[in-house]
Amino acid sequence: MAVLSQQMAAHHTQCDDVFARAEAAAERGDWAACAQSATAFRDDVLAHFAVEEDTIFPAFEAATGMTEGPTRVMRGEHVQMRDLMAALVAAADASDAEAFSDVAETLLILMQQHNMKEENILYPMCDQTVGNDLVVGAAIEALGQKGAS
Amino acid sequence: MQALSFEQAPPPSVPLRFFLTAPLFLLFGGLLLLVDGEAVMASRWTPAALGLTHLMTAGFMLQVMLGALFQLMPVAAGANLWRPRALALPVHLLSALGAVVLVAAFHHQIAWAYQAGVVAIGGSVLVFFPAGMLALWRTPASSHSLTAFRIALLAFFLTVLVGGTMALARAGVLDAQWLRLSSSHVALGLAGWGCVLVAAVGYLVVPMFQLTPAYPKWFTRSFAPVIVLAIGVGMWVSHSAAWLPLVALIALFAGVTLDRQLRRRRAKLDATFHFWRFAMGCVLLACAGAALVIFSVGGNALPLAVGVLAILGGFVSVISGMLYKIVPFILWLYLQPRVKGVPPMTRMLNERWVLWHLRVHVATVGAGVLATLWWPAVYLAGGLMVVSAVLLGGQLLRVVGHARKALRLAQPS
Repeated sequence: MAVLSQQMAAHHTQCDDVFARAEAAAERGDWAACAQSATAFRDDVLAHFAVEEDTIFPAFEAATGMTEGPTRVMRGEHVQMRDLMAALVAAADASDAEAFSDVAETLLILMQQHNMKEENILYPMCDQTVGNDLVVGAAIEALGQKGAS
Repeated sequence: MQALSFEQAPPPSVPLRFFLTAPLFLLFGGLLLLVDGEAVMASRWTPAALGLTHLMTAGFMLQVMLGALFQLMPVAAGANLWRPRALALPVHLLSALGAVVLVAAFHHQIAWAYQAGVVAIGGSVLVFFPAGMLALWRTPASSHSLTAFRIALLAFFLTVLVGGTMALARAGVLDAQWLRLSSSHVALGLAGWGCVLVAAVGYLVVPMFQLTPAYPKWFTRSFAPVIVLAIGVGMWVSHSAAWLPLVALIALFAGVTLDRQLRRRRAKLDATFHFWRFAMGCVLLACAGAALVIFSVGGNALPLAVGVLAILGGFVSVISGMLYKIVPFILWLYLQPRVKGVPPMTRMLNERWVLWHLRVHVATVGAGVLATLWWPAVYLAGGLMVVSAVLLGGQLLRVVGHARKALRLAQPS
């Protein structure tokens, strides 16, 4: 069985790839492709958040009793990223290069430092506490299959 | 399991006090070159050259490295410092004042100033080192960056210990034979503390900023521990060729970093990317030069050129590139949940001026290397360094100004 931290980190990389495609399309002024990739990126990240917020985090909080710790901070950053992803898709739809560039830069660094905290600290803790939880495993498996399809 | 909260990332004032002080040392460095450039270029051992070296290392670099540790240890390694705001005040004041006094001691050969510099910088280490090590040992996280942070912090302690001993020897307090530790001091400071910290940060931010592949596992697992071994070999084997493995390892880091950057997935290139790439190129040249110096090729000029390439071309470039990303981000992340209408990070900086800084900085390094061969070029290097410092400091103050304005104007959200 694959390890939770590895599967979730691999999905981060998949989301990064779609982000890079959207940004590359914006750089060459291909706004139709940019809007398509930006929307796909937002949908992939929202699916990732859903697995974390609905399955992994509650299981981790139940197993450790830590409800005010890292998961609360991660949920807060998810809110910030949702706002920025909405702005990213809006800028792509409006073919607004300046707005897209502003949002993409801020979103990228916020997302990357968020992923770093999850991959270095939170996911390894989840491996130890809820790594064998079948419900968690099934949700991550479904996320991986969705990304692959 | 130990409780862990990411929220113990310090308030922005903690890293910013260090980051905003740093450009002043760059400014002083440029002024020193303008006033005393000929002496700086005569040999790396002149009072002026030692003063300039320590303005860059114990001044500019140390300020940013301490600020970065305060910010990154909790965020990247889950290593929460105890009461960071209370800790930062003495560490900042003692390290900044200590660097100024130490540089004055080198430049004017003042015995009491050496002692005062040792007390002040030593004091900052005695406050920061135990608190940092405790945080790095108590974290439940584990990563190769964490190992590198631990090694870097230990090397920082040893750098100051060895450097302090030599400063006291210069002051006449200790025997002059301690001055023979200079190669160890340089290796501990630039490789053990500087390069290992850049590597620890690089493992995290190089893939993050440009969406490059991660550093190879074999590399992140072994780089920092092998650097320790190589420093040990250099220190204990009494032949200058024993430093070659260390030089080769540093070149390997630069090569691996450039290779990562070549495989980036981002189409957009920004100033931070260019600063990093230029830095790694300078590091490769510095390593080639250092290898020749080890075999006594190049006279007085080559060691100076290696110093310019390593310190100004390598460290100052990486640091400048990082500051342009980290300072706007720290303030954006702090403000965004608190106030409405926070400008995007990119708008807090003036990108055109940042790119001008990049060009002026590259020219500074070029003029600095030229001055090792034809000393009058030192005045050009000094003037350009002053302009670099003003551009860097000006942009960082602009970011803080935007953040203050947003706080003043915005309604709590």
